[in-house]
Amino acid sequence: MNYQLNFAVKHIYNSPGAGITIKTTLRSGNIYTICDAKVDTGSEFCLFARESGEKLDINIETGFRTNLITLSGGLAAYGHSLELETLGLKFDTFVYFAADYSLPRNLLGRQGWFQLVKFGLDDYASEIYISPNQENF
Amino acid sequence: MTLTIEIAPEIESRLEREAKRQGLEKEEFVKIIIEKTLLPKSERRKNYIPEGVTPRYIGKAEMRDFSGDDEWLRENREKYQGQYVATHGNRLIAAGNNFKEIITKAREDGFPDALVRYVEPLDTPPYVGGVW
Repeated sequence: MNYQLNFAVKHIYNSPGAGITIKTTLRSGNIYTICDAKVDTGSEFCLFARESGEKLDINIETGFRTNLITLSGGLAAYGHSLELETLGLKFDTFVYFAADYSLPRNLLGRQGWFQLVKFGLDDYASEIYISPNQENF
Repeated sequence: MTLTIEIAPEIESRLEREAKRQGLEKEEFVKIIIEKTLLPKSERRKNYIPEGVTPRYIGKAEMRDFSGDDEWLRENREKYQGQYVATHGNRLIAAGNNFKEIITKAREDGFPDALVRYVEPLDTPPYVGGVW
């Protein structure tokens, strides 16, 4: 049996460096910052560098604190509501900022991003297919 | 069932703050906490998004073309490895070891839409991902 999905956006990724990287805008009010983020289905949620949050004038420690584990150890992070833009789609969502500085990679994970989109990947061809995960769009 | 409990003033004020932040009455917030805590273990799923927060798609976003930024990085990655860089198209706006200073410089120079990223050293081990 064959299945067919339809997507609103096709994106060819060819960023230098490791992983599948897409440009991401984080926006809080009128302030925004643009960064790279790795698409990561293994991440339960979205995680960004603390510095990005601070440059959005977010008081990091006022957020929803959680402790995380990674393959190489643990870290603390604080969750905040903000707007996130990727591949031409804008979301009102909830992401985490690392408690410590100098997180080397930003992650787009399941809660806060993957669960808001229908996502297709052809890694051989470096192609991402994406649509908002709402029937009315 | 109606339950009356005593809690420390510090806990009470934290409770009030968090309930207010989530737009809930404190009784309603406590009820949610109790119900979540007493769910059978098999039904519990770690939720990293607080109650009352509902992520959603809100519309299309205009994003600029970043192909020049990537081209610049491919040509200059070796020179700037281990640094943060801000680029706008194939133009370098700022580079250095302090992420916040790079963002500030880009904004001050009139490039709030600069792409700011860390240039991973060429000998960085492969990334295997995953945060939970």
